[in-house]
Amino acid sequence: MPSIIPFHPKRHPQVQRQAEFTAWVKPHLDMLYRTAWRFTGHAQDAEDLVQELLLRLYQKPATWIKLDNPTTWLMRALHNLFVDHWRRTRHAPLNRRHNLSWDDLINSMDLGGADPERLAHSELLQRQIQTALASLPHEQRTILALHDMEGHTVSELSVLLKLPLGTVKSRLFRARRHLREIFLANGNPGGEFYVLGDEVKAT
Amino acid sequence: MNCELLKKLLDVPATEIPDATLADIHIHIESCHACNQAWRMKQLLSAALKASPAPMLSEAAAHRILAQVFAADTQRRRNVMSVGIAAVLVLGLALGFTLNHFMVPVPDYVMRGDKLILQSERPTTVGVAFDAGSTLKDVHFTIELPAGIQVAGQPGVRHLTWVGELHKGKNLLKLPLVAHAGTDGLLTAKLSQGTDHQTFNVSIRAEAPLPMGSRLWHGLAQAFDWRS
Ligand SMILES: [Zn+2]
Repeated sequence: MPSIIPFHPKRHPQVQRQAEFTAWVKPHLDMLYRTAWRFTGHAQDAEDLVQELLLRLYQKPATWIKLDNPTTWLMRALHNLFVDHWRRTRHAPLNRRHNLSWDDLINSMDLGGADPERLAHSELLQRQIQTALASLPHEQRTILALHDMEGHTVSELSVLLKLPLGTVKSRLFRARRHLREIFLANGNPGGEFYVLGDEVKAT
Repeated sequence: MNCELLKKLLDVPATEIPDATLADIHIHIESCHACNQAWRMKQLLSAALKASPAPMLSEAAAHRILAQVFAADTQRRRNVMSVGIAAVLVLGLALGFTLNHFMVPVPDYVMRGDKLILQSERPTTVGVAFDAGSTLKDVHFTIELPAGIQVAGQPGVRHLTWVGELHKGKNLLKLPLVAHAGTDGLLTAKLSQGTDHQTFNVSIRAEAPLPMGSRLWHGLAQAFDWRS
């Protein structure tokens, strides 16, 4: 009779590590993907960005294993990866010929008497916003995404980005102004609409 | 309120503007067309940013992301480790890690040539036997199963490791397996002790229910008479 080899299988260490990592990161995946989508404005880019972040993390288990509350840490890592290392841009450059003019915007959405809260959901307008966002520098895009779109507070962003409150506020202010300028320039091929300064003098 | 002041407030969220200032703004934009348009646009932009939809991550995409992370990591390890493994193999052979292995057929599977044929979708205990030249303690067993075969009762588990010992002579490992029809690949058993290690590959294949008459006894097993 042969000896019977006792069979006490454990998972392969690598498989075990994959299972641990999956269990650890799964609750944060939605948030990471959603934020990555905000940053990149593109589904495939968002997947790639999250994947790159996770690969970097996975290869340094000492980093993620110790984190008790990883949400802020993960968001910061995603932000830094995007701002510092993400050079890919898929967005089309501003295409003035095909973009909505201000007159079109008013006419198509009856902006004169309409409620901005309702108009905000217009698909056309959302496309315009995406185009304008895609034209912003990374740092401005991310801060707008996190604050104006995802609803993080200025104090949260101060912690997340490790920046003083005042810097977060001024960066937000500049990002909004830039977005508005792009949006308006984009919305009007001739650029005649936003001449508030001139009109100011006239009124 | 005047146009210049209002212009400065266009990029400040309404929630951060004092109520009194907001009231002034509303009075101003009733009589100033340019500011009225600019203020509406500001409100629209701010509302549109808030309303901007973001897609949900599908289960499939989540799975894809993690699978790619693990695949990229494995690839990197393979690149890093390949030289090391080769060195260990040479060392193992030099020290004469003397093991032989045989597949021990039981009625639920057959040997066809060197190939182990399993009945698909049915838990089957496969015997793998090792002949050790001497007793070996602290042997690390690693079993890797091809895609489509898993350990019975442990869905998705295709890699197993544990530590055990081998007695001098014949040792039998009973592996409870379930295979999907059409699976064809290699079962790899790796045994290591310290820096010694030896790997055995067995061709394995799953087929639809085997006809009763084809359940053969393999000559090797009869020779060792392990079944009695
Ligand atoms: Zn005015």
